[in-house]
Amino acid sequence: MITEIGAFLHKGTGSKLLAELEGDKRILGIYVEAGRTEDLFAFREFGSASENDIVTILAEAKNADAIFKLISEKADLTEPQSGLVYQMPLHKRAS
Amino acid sequence: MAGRQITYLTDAQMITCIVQASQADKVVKAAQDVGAQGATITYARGTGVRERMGLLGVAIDEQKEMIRIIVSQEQADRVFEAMYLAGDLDKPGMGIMFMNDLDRIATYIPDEVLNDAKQTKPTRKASSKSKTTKKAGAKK
Repeated sequence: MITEIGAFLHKGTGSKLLAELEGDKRILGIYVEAGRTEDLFAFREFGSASENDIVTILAEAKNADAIFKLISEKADLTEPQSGLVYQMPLHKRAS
Repeated sequence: MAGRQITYLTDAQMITCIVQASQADKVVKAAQDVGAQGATITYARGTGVRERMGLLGVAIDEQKEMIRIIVSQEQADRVFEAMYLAGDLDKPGMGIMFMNDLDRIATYIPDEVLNDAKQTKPTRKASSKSKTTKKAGAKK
């Protein structure tokens, strides 16, 4: 059973996270996309939106708690405007 | 990390909607009109229906926009339907959307919101002392 842990973070944070987690044996895959968000951050760059990074991590379910906590701490979710981390199950895996 | 808490939100869904480029804003607006807080949008490149339907592959835009919206379970169907209709997804080649259950979400939640939630609803305590779990409500 594998799980997806995703995070909507400030622009630039995704690449840093990618570099920090590179080589972590618990992580099966990590991907970073750039996008825009309507409501997570108060600053505005494009009309009503602001730039952000979307990080997607694939991991075994047994490691999900530790990775979720790690990402949440790195995102510093105790502060406002820091982003959002989520977790969802994936039902099939092939590689 | 002493004194820091992670509050997990549960009972939430992620709606993912892939539409042709420049269509995302109207789909997001429709979602917001029925209660979604906002959305995260990325650019993508699509294939599949474009080759099957497009006139020489040009009638359907290759550029896509991918919308992700997190909503509570109570809102999910309403937001999903509004997005579907706004994106004209009942027409061929306009896009596709799907919905996933989320196990949990973590984000910043102001103390006053947490205190209100504690007073109005019973909260489930997570296994660790430093974690609390509550229902997602209308949080994006």
